[in-house]
Amino acid sequence: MSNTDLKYADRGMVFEPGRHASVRLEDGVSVARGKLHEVCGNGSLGFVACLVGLVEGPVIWVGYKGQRATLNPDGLAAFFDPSRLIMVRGLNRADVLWAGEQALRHRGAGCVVMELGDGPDLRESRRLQIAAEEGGALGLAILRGRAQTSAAHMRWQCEAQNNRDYPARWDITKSKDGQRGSWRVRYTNRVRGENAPGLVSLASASAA
Amino acid sequence: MRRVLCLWLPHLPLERLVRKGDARTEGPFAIIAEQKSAWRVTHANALAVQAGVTEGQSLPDARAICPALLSAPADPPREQAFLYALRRWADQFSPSVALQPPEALLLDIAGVSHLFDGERAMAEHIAEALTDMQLTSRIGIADTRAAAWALARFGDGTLQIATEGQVKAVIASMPIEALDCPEARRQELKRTGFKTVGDLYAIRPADLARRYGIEVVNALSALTGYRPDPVEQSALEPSYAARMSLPEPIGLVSDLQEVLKRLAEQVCARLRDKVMGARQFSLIVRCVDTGDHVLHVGFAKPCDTPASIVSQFTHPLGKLKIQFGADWFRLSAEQVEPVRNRQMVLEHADAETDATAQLISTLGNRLGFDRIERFLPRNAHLPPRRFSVTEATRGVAGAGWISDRDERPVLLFQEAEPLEVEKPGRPPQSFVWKRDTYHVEAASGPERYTPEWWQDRDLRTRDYWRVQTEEGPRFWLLTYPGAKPASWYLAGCFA
Repeated sequence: MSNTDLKYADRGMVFEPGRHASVRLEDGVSVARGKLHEVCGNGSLGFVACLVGLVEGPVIWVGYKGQRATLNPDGLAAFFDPSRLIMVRGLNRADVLWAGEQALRHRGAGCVVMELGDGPDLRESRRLQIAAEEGGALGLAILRGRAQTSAAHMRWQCEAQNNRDYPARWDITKSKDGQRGSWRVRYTNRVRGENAPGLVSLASASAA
Repeated sequence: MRRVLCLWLPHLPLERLVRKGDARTEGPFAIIAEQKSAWRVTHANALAVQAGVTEGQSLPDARAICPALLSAPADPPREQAFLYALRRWADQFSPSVALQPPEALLLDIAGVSHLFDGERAMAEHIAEALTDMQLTSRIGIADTRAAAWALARFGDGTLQIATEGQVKAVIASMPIEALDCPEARRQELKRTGFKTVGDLYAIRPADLARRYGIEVVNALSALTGYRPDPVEQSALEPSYAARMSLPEPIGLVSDLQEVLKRLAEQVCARLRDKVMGARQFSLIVRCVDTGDHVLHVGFAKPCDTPASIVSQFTHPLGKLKIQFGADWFRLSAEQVEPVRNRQMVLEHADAETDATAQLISTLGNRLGFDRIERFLPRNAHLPPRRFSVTEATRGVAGAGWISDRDERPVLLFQEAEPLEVEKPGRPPQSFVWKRDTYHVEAASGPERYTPEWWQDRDLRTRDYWRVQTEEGPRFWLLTYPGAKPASWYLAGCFA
């Protein structure tokens, strides 16, 4: 019995290979399920939308109540089916973190997105990370403020670019399994059937 | 032949309080209600009646006559609940019991009375049992519902029986009030000089109908049985509840959970019998010192599994402060709905929705179900109105989203944000949003939307521009053509 098996067996869970598999963005680069990932920058929504399009199951999107800007399902439909979205509105940071943890731990979600101000600290991220490991969902935290030292598996910096062909640039700024790189990104449209099934095409690495 | 027993409880509201041990009922006491724009006495107890209080009197008059009079306002919902409880009690006498609000029960006793040694013995038995419960009753037995009610209401004694086929003769001496027709009709009959129901027998129904309306004829034929007047038995609504009282108070969370588990098993067994589930459960915890505490949990879909009830109650139970323990518990299922059973193992997609529903319940019970939302598509052309937001427990997933048109922003401001234009233009060459300056590199538009004139809201034409800024982000700008000075708003952001 390998180390991983033991870890899951201890928590009374059965390891399902399909569920904990990673989401592959490109050869050699993947975003692991059952982990928490942080996303920063003004292009975070595009990154998250692309990833959600690549996983299956319901999407729990935890945000704050009374936000002026709302997600536009019309626009998200280009990335994934908006009927998968379940919006949860927390009143404060504690609500959002709690809801995110519950959703990650539960097996009812394929992907859990949390909108946070500052990034989760070590203790918060560790709780989220453990919850994600138990539930097997893809955990994504969108950071509007500053990132802190955290136990998240990866941190992506996603910035919108002034470029007609590649409107975004994604960088891995932190990765626990040593993945590195920067990419120029072209979004594809699920509805128009581009790059079925709605994959993100990544341009060749411009840096790293 | 049908035999109907009508059980009329003339002092039901009053005796409800007596049974509760209300100390006010020991002296002169009356139940009052607001009628004809005044508080009037509807029921008075024996002491009050002795002092001269009558029903229908206004409360100030009654107080003037009897200064010691105490009163309580009528409480129809509780009285109905009490009558409903009596209806359950009356089940022992007849398989078919109906409610006749506000204060009567109807028992179909055809083929039943011989079990109680005849109708008279049965009625006496019922009256005696009610007296034991401190309830005054009047009983009428007849072939029809209306006649039984009239006998109970206007009969000579507390028990009057019209033997089979004798209804017409017995009813003849009843006052006109026994007719179940609008009050105005009865007044007309009385004004004409009719005093008893028997007076009407001599008149041809056709003439009666022409002069007083068909209601009078209908009421009369219902009394005599010419017209069917069935006892509509209301099926006893099954109550999905269980309670437990303990000899000693308990306070440990694990003990409380054990009690809850046993209660939940009982309730769920009953729910499963009927293939039902409940969307809400309430638990009453009666503490020895602080009284009743009512806890609620909700579910995203009808639930009939004890384990999930216990798990959802864990959080509210943990928050409950029990100092000296609790010794009485009641768990009841509310919002009972049929359960659609499915094979959960074979259909993977369904198992997923079960897990999701469970998650929604967990989140909703803590945050509130109004905070768990879902988008539904709406057939409108204005971008901000193309979708609606509903509670996730209500909305049905899987609605069709069609987005085969131009690229849409992923983020939308419900109230477009006003922009500070630095270099004007169409669209502005540079603008400030959230203290950041953006320079427009390229723009496409306008995308023009005419207002929804049938809506009584913003009736301005809108122009949307897609803008690529030098800084990177792509925005959706909004302006109202023709407005002076031209103002620009931020309507959304693209991915």
